[in-house]
Amino acid sequence: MTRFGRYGGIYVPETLMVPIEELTEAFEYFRANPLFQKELNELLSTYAGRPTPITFVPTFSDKVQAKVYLKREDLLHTGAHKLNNSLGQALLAKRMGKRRLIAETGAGQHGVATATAAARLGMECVVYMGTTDMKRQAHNVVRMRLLGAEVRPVSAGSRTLKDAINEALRDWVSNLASTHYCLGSALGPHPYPTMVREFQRVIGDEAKIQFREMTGRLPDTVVACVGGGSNAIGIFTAFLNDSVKLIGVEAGGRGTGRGEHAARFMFDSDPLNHIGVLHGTETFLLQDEDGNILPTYSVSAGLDYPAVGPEHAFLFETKRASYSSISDDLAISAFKMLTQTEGIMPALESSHAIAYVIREMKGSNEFILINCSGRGDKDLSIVEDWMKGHGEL
Amino acid sequence: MTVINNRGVSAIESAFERGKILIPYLVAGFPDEKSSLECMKAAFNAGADMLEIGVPFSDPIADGAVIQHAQDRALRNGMTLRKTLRLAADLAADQKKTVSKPLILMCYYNPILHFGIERFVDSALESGVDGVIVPDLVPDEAELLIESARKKNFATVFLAAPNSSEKRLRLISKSSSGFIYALGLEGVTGERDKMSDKLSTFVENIRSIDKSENKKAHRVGIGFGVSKPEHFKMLSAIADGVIVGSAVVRRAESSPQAVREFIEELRR
Repeated sequence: MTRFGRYGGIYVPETLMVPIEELTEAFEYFRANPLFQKELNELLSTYAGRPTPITFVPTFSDKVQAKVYLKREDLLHTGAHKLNNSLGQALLAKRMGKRRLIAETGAGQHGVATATAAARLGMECVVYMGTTDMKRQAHNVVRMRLLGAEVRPVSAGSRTLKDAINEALRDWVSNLASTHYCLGSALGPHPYPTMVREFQRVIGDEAKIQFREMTGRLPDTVVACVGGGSNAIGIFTAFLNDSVKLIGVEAGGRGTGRGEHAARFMFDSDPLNHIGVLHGTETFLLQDEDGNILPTYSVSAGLDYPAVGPEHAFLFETKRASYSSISDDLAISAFKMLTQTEGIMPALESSHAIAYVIREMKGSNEFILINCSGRGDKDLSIVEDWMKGHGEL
Repeated sequence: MTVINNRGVSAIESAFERGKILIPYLVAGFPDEKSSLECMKAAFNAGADMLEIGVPFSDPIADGAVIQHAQDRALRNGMTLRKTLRLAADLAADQKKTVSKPLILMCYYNPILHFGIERFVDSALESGVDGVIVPDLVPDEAELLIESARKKNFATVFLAAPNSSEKRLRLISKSSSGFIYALGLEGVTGERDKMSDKLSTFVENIRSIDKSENKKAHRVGIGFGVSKPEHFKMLSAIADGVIVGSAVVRRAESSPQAVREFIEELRR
């Protein structure tokens, strides 16, 4: 099965087909292999810091009049959920005899996670990053370089995540024998959307047990931000067959016009106009009348991407999950509110999920589980600039 | 119907009757709309047997720096799939004054999908385009395109890679019409100094698999990496046609005259 309903598939140059077949076989073999699972689980617990806790946030809960719990992926080693996937893929690549990892990165978190996995497992690492993102996430560039990775700037197109993926795909097709492409989100050609979900589903699997232990029940609603959608699919998967509402939150950016946001599910014309193929997968995406991909914008580099993972497209179509969007301003207000009320500084990506709860679920009195997918240290200079711009500093 | 009968797959197949053929690639709208048309005419006048017209796309993942730059510039000039078809129609009209050589489009999948697959095939044929190469569409995902194209004798040229398995080469052979496009390297488009010495075995392999799959064998074109007359000579000894992309596009940036001279040089 290469698809989720009509979404997904394998839209790649022919040269990638055999490597993709090999990757699919290796993944299917190792996902059922107890020794591989044992090695990965050991790394996740003794190196990455799993399980991450769930935290009840009382003051924040009072303010929004609901019972809010955070899944603390911000406490994972390197500061975001990305390491779950990078360790899994790096280990798999090593078993496949690859010595070189390449990755794309937007906010830098996936790049840092892959550079970290490469350092730990003794592999080479090259990370592609748009020059716009290198500027706004400069600290992560330094981190990657310190970890021994080579960061290659991408100055084509919109100079963000989309263009970094283009460049990583070009590298992969040119270096097949030595290289595994460690794709960081639940998108790309099959088997990536499934593989990334399987490496990230530990988030929801843990959270479900922890939530029950803490409250004796399941949450009413689970909320996560959605760029490509790996942290969201990671926490949603465990709850798909439960009567739990699932909400994905996209980047509303600074407006509803073209190039002002990255909200793929925000449209009012025929849905068919919003389906297309990018980076190997058929899904909802932002495109113009001629089928060219539109530029996107978000204050959060990790959500600044024109297509959404194909499984989210399927969950949207079947209405199993619903999707909404949050503006830059609301995300930054949520960032500040959680920091001030609870002493937890979320990534700007995760702040979109938190802002959704503030805007849409105030007074609901529901049990809400938010995936706090990463920590906000990387975003300090952006928030500082915003505060200066608003006379707050 | 007579018009359709001598266009499409038939037009491409008869071009291969001319012997070892040369297929230059040019990007529509690069360096600008008018010059790109002039470059295409110059290529034909200089002895090109068929032309591959690149439709600019925002995310050309199979292309190296030269063609990326050209596509980016063409997009900035407002070139689109629709306008490329109009440009092709102008070129085809101009050609009919002399001899009508085939045109194929090289277009990424999303613009075609968004345009509508059946509508694309119809509009392309109406514009004098005989077939299409979609660099990010493998036959496994191309059922709709193949079906629409077959009905109208429109060519679907699929790419065969040096690392394609026998099973994949069979699928490529079954799904291709017009010719099979053998990739000269594992990587993106762009000029290379040297071509692999394994290409002869690769093309032989394609031919023998193709022979067992089809009653009528496909012609094999080869491209990616070609930069100089020696390459053309070497590859035309191996395959039935040679596609030259980046090396031609680079010359298109200076002038139609430069394109003409380069193609004459390759042909010499």
